[in-house]
Amino acid sequence: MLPAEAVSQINNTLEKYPDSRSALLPALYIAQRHVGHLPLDALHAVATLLDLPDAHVRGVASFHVMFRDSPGGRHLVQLCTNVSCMLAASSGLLDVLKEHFGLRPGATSPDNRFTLLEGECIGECEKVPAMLVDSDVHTGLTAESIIEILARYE
Amino acid sequence: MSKLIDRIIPDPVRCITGISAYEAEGGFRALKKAARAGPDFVIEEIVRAGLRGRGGAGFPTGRKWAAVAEDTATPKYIICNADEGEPGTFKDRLILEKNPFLLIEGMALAAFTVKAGVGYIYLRGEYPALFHLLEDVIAQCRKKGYIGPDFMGTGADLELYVHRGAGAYICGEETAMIESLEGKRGQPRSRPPYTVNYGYMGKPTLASNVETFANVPIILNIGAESYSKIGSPESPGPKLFSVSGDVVRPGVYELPMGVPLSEIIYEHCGGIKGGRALKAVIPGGVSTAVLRSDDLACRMDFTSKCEGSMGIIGSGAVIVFDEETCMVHTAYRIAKFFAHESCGKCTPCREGTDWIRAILLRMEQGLGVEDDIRLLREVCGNIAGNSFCALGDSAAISTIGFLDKFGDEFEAHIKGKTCPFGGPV
Amino acid sequence: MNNMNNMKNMITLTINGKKFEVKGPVKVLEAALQNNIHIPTMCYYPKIESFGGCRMCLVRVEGMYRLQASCSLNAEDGMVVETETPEIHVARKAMLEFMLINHPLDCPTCDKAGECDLQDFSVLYGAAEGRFHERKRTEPESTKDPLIVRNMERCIMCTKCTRVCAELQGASAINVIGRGKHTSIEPFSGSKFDCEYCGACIIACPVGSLMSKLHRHNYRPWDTGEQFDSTCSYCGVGCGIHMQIREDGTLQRLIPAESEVNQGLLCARGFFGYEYISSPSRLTSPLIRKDGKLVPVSWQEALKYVASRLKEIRDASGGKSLAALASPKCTIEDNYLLQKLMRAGLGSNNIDSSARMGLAGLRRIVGGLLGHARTVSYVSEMAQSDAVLTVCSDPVTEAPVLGVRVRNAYDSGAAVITFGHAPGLRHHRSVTMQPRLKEQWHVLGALLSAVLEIKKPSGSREMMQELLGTLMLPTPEDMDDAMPREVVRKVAETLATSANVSLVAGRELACSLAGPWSIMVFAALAHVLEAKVYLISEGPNEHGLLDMGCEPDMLPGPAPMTDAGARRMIEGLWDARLPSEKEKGLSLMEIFEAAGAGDVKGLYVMGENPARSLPDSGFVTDALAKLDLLVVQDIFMTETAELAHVVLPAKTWIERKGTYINMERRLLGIDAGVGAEGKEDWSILSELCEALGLKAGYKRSDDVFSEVMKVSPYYCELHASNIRGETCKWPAEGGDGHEAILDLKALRPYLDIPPVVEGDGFDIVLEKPLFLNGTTALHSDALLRISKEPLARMNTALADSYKIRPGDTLRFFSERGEIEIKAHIDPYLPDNTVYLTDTQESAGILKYFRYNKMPFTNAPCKYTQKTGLKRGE
Ligand SMILES: Cc1cc2nc3c(=O)[nH]c(=O)nc-3n(C[C@H](O)[C@H](O)[C@H](O)COP(=O)(O)O)c2cc1C
Ligand code: SF4
Ligand code: SF4
Ligand code: SF4
Ligand code: FES
Ligand code: FES
Repeated sequence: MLPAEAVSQINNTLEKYPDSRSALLPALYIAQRHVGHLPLDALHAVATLLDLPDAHVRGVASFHVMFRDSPGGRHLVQLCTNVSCMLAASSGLLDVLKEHFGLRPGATSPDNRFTLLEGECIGECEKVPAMLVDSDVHTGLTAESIIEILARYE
Repeated sequence: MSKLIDRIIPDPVRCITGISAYEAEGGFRALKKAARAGPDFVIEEIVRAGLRGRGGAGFPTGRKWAAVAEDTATPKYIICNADEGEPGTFKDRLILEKNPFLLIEGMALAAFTVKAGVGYIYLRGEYPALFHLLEDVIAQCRKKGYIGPDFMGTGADLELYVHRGAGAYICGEETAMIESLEGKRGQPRSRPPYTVNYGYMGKPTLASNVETFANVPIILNIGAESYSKIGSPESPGPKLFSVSGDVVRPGVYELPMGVPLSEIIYEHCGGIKGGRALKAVIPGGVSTAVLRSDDLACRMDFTSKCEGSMGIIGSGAVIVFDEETCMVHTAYRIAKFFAHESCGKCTPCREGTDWIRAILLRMEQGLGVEDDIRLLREVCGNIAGNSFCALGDSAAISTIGFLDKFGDEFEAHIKGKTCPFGGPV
Repeated sequence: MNNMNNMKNMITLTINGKKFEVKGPVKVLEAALQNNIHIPTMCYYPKIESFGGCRMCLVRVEGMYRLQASCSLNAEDGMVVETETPEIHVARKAMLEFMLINHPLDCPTCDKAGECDLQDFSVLYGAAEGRFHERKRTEPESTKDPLIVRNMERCIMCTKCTRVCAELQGASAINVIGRGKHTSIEPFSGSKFDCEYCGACIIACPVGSLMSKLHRHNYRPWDTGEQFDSTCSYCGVGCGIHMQIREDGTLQRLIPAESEVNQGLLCARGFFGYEYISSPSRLTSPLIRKDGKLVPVSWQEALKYVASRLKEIRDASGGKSLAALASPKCTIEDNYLLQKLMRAGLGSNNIDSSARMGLAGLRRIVGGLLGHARTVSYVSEMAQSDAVLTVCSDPVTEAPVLGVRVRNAYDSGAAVITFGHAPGLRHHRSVTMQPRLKEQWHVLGALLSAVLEIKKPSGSREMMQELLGTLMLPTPEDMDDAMPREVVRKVAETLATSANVSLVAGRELACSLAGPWSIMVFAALAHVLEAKVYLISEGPNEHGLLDMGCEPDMLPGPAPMTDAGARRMIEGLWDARLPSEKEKGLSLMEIFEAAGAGDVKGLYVMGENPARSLPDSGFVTDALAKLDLLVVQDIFMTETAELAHVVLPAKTWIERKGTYINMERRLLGIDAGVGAEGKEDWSILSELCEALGLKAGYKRSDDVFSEVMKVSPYYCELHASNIRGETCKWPAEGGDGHEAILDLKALRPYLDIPPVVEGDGFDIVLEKPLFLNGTTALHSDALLRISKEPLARMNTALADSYKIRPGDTLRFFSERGEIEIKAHIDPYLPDNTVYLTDTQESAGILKYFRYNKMPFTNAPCKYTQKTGLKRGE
């Protein structure tokens, strides 16, 4: 079940839309923010709140990269490896993350601090390589700066 | 005289995020003008200006607005496509960061013109900071009566909301975006019916790109006449180019339509980094076919074509590669993107894009076989023209482009059983 | 706008060089199909929205720059289409190659082989060359669900399954999970389906990805022998079913038929609920109680014994001391003969059935007031309604395919108003009105007043004019506390302003504590709204049984007991005497009351299990135990049969021929697909009739039907058309029928607003389970495996007030006993109401209730005086 605060936030988004189904993405964001990820009972709670079939909600959640069905680390790191970042050797940064934090793409660090995703372009291609940590954008990364930046996330 | 009235991004450094600054520099003049002159005038001006959609397809914007305005069904909606997911594209982000009120003014003009009461900005999930910025900007506009009930005494109403996507490139495709906004899996719809008649909630809907909306106040400010004289005659107006890759000064450049590719790269962006030579350019986002250095005379607009390629301007994302880049690897990385982003609705794209990816990966790893190039061409040929939406086509166009222009590099990978560039850059 | 052409009705287009005219709007694929041009498809499915994903149906349209998916393209005037060019073949072959690259080559072990579209098309277009050198997708077959095997390696992602589940069945239980290449079809849980198990997805799947576990790996499609058409006997809808029989004569499976009634739909009971026919607890031999034990005897001995005992009781105590229960599960022929045996053979009018709890009273009052033609409507036409009002009925469980049609109506824009509890329509309702039980019928009355404020009744039916002039109604203001007047007025407005309104009611209305008044309110609503009426019959042949005179005061025909002409005709035909018309027969509960008092000494029960299915089943069981003779004719050793002196094994609907009348009053046939031990009910009865000195001599059930046609003017008309039901539509298509027997005078005492029964504490509402709706279901392994745990559901406030947490074991008390059941909390349920699922064990939850006989109809209305609740350990 979702905390009462999440429920009221979800109910608030309803007024933006002509029907409850349209509020599904915002509702999933809210649920994930409160629960950390979207396990089946969170999806069920969202479905109940929006009066939608459970399977519909799971189908939509699973379509999107931003929604996670398993608990990850405390912070989600999405390092862009798409072309512009690739040209700036972002793949080398993957090695740095592996060495320094034990992070592999698709996995969570042993200390449960980070989950790493090899990301697609995040629209920061003029300041490559770029990454998103949770919802913070970091650009112009180097082997040194990436370590230093991640050190700030406990 | 401020630059605000005739430029999309008047100042590449400053962010105009306070409404008084925007007003002071001439903001909302277009809206006031429209309120006096009426909806028909707005549509006429857009048509006369020759504005074409900046989302990639270049559809004549005036026709779209007119179609929604004419439809008698109610309610109507406007949606701003701010999903900007085409790799290498970041110009919409710049508009939203630097001059967000211009978009709101464009959307208010649209609401007034087509009589839509509610609008959504479908914002990329990867732009979280902009979500809050836009909510704030909307609140400022509402407070000042530029939107809201009976905004500016026009009798029209507009409530604007920001809707965050959640990481799916296909949701930038207009009909998939509408499905997604409706809380469904973001898969494209069959057309007809078209969005203008049957869009969000099955109602007439105007869906346009951020940059397209942002052009409308400029048209009204400087007049259709002068606007149509900017850039190419068939696709006039200013255009934002997102330039990235191996150039000295990557960034967004606001230039007239039809500017030659070479001018963008060498004059505006300072040429290739480190004095190296240019090997290849993707002219309009990864959905467009790659070009070689001898294609640089191409003019960047919706009608000009380069030899052997379809449209080149796409989203206006110019990605520049220097001589040290492996084209097989680049083709692979792009194929991987398409395979990752295929929505899975149609057979050729769902199965084919991943097949392309797998073959290219093998090649890049030196495991390619003699027949792979022919196979790759056939697989691409089987996708192109048969997929449900343009994503599948794009994946094929991209791969075929690399094979056409850099076939020798592919052969070298197969023959040498290794990457001559030493694997990933 | 862009397709004004489609607005025009007739479209001329050229396909493969020939000109065709088709009615629009229509897709190119369908236009071709109508003209016998077959375009291959994988994701196209009639009756649901086109999808356009598989790309098999690509065609070339002149003037369009790429191949077009004909399933999603509207045919337009002047279109020139090619469907079979070399270019198209290349494309289709390519699509097949794409489908096959991740498809395992396991046809030899796949149950679908032989009826697989992918296999067939691969043969047609040439198999792929196998130039895919990458690793195929691997995902182990999931057998975690009790009934549906899910094999995602074979899936070609046509999404027909998810679309039929959402768009046709309205269950939305499965969905595409993931994106792109990493998609699979999954139920919400990822393992068990926990769905409505209608089987639609299994039928829709073109490959071997979704298969029924019931016949897994034990047949090949090419082993199928004969096929028979029949009618499902699980409820009153009467869905058409194909029985596929194996070459060895055993049942392979049942599949939905494209009959006018169900048009390809079935529910879980129809699709999965057939294993009971081979249940080990089937009765095989007649049994007689000797020294307290039921022991097998020969048919001859059993029938001789029954006949002589019946005769003895009749001769000693008179016909009045004998009674019978007819069965809506049995055919017209069976019920006709049971009634003949009772009346002519034993001189008793004491015959009734479980229809007493619902249809008998509803049909009599609603039909009597509105005319019988108005009491039935087509199940399929429900989907075209503009507004639907369900009155204390959940059609999704009571008449599942009708329920699905309500969902379809909702999806096409109808306003669906659920009055009372209807959990099956949870995602398909516009408004729900759930007043407390004690006031719910008064609120319905207030709704009628609100409708009357807006809409004046038209039509000249005198009886209705008189009724509306005299029926007392509360106003929405009077009922404000029970249901806000705005809600009542809003709903009234919706109903009054909709063109095509449908009303649904079933047993809850028939057993209303507010008496016949509620039924009159319902009939008046139907009249004022000019609504289509759907009266749910829970058995497959309730109408047929009533038509056969299996009511204490009716003769077959049906004709009233007092109809002198009918009596003369029947007595002549039977060459026997009917009991005197003054002999008032006993109704359902009166039979047990009389048995308890010793006035009824012998009871003949055909295909009913009163010890389980009637309220106050403890009392019913005691009464049964007091009988001198209890004969039970059934297919199982039911709770009732356990108490019998004689048990006679009968055959199921899959093993025999006969006819039913469904809730549309359509004549439907059943057919013998497989053989079985036991005798058909009618033939047992025929032998008993003869033993009791009646002329019988029926050789086949058709012979009985021929006699029915002589007795009943309707059946003569009905039978004129064929039994498979394409044209048997009386009375749904008009005509007042032959049975306007209602005298409004008899209803006069009930025109006043009934008093509100005051009670404290919470209300108890029964939730009928979808899967286990009776004895046959309880012997179907598949249905048992999917049945949900019984629950006591309540909202948070009620749970808090009793300090109940989810999962607690609760004990509910009434003056009749107590029941243990698990608690479930759902914040969206209304206040002060506990929703109890029927627990099914021993005599089920009904034993916890007492009953009142409703005046006029004698329907037993459940109630309890005390309700208590405790938390268990
Ligand atoms: C796969 C795919 C992705 C797209 N992504 C975007 C996008 O991110 N932003 C955008 O404005 N248009 C995108 N488009 C184009 C839209 O479908 C649509 O043409 C555009 O939003 C129309 O706006 P316009 O008329 O202003 O150009 C995409 C199209 C496809 C096929
Ligand atoms: S081409 Fe097909 S699978 Fe690919 S994104 Fe479009 S609809 Fe989805
Ligand atoms: S059996 Fe019926 S309810 Fe269950 S998943 Fe299949 S279609 Fe849906
Ligand atoms: S399971 Fe069957 S019906 Fe469903 S998508 Fe796969 S192939 Fe199609
Ligand atoms: S390619 Fe990395 S941010 Fe665009
Ligand atoms: S049948 Fe037309 S695309 Fe599948």
